[in-house]
Amino acid sequence: MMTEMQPEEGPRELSMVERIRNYAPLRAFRVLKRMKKSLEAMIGEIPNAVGLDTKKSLAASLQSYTDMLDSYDDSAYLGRNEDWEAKLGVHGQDLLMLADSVQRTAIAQEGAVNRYVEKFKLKIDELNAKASELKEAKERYLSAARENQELLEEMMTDKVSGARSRRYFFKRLTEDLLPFSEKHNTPLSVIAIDLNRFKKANDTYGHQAGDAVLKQFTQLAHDIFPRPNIVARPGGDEFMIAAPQYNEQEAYEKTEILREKVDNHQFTYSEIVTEDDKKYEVTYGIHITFAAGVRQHEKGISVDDLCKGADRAFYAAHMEKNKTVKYSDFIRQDRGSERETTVRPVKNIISRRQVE
Amino acid sequence: MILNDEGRMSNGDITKDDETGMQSKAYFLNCLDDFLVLRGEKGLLAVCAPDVPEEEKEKITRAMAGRGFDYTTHYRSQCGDIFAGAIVSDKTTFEAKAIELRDELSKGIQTKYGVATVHITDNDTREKAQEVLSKLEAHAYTAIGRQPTQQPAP
Repeated sequence: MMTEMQPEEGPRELSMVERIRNYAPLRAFRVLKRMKKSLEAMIGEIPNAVGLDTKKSLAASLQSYTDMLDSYDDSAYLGRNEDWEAKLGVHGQDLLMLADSVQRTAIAQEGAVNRYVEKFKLKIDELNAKASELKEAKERYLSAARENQELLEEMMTDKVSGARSRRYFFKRLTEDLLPFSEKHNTPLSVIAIDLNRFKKANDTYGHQAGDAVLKQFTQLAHDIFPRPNIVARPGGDEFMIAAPQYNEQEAYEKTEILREKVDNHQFTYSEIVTEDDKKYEVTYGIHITFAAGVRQHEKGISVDDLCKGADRAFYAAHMEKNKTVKYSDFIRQDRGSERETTVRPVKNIISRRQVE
Repeated sequence: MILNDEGRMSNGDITKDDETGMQSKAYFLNCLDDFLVLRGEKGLLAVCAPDVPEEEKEKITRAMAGRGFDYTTHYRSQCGDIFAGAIVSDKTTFEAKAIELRDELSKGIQTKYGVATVHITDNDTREKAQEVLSKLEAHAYTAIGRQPTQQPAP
C-alpha cells in the first residue's frame, strides 16, 4: 500500500517575486560596488603621464558616486522595498555613464599610450641601432688598433733576427735620441758590428742556420744592451746599436763584454735528418765572432756622420786584425778572428739523437 | 690599409697622429718604455679634454709644443682627447711647467679640461709606459669630475 508522503512543516518558501524583492537590492548593491572597484582599477591604470587631469577628474566623479552609495546602509534595504529600485537605478545609471566615460577615456588614453609605446619602441630601436653601430665602431677601433700595433711592430722589427729594423733605428736616432742628447747634454754612442764568417756559416749549414745565429746573436746583444739601448739589424750580418747615456768608453767596454760573450758562445742549429729510415735530431755547433766600431755623438754632428764614424771604426778594426787601434774613434779589433776557422766546411755536430 | 687609432684612414705614417702631428699613441708608448728606464728624473703630464672643438685642440697642441717635452702624443680615448708629454726634468721645474701650461690653457680653452702630472725619480717605478699613461689619463679625467670607464685593450 502506498503511503502518501506528507510535506514537512518548515519555513515558508519565498515566492520568486519576494526573493527578487528581498535579494535584488543587495545584489544590485554588490554589483555597483564591484563596478566601483573595477572603475577604480581602470582609472588607476591610466598612466599619469598621458592624462593626469582626466584621471583626477574621473576619480573625483567616482568618489562622489561611491560616497553616495556608501551612505546607504544596504541592510536597510533588505525587506524594505520602498524606493530602492528607483534610487539604485539612478545610481546605477550614473555609474554606468561614468563607466562608459572611464572606458572611453581609457580607450583614448590607451591610444595615446600606444602611440607613446610606439614612440618608445622606435626610440629603443634607434638606441639598439646606435648600440650596434657603436659596437661595430668599437670592433673597428680595436681591430684598427691591433692592425696598427702589428704594422708598427712590423715597421720596427727585423723579423729574421728579432732586432730592430734599419728604418726604426734611423728614425729613433734622428727624431729622438740625437736631439735628446743635444738638448740634455747626455752621451750617445753608436756601435757598428759586423759578424765574421757569417756567410760561411750560412753556406755550410744553410740559411735557416744563419737565421738561428742572427736570432741568438740578437739575444746576446740585448742581454748586454737592454732598453733603452736599441739593437738593430740594418741587413745581412750587420748590426747597429744606439746606446743613449753611454759615452764612448762605456760603449766600448760594453761592446768588449759582448765580444767576449759571443766569442765564448756556442751558437747552435738543430735539424731533423733521415738515415736508414730513422730520424735523428742533429744539433750543429757554430762559432761566430765579430768586429765592431764605436763612435760617440758630439754636438753638431749629424746622424749620418755619427754612423759613418762608427762604420769607419769598425772597418779599421776589421782590416787591422789582432791590433787595438786608436782611430778617430774607439775601435774594437776582433781578437777572436783566428777562431773564424772553427766555422768548418765539415759540419760541426755537437749532438745527435734518434727521434723516431 | 692603414688606419689611425680611431679607425680612420691615416696619412700612412703609423708613428704619427694625423690631427696634431704628434706621436701616435702606440709609438709614444714604445718610446715611453725606453724613456722610463733612462737614468735621471722625469715628468709626465696629461691633458684630458672631452668634446674639445678643433680650434681648441690646436691651442692645446701649441701649448704642449711650447713646453719643450721630449715626447708628445695626441690620441682619443674613452675619456675624450688626450694630450700627453714626457720630459726629463727635476720636480720643481716640472711642476712650474705644469702650472704654466694650466695657466695658458685656462686663458685659451673654454671646454672643461683636466691636467694630471706624475714625477718619477731615478728608478722609483717599475711600471710600464701603458700603466703610467692609463693612470695619468684617469687622473686627468677625474680632475674634471668625471669617472673614467675601463679602457678596452688594444
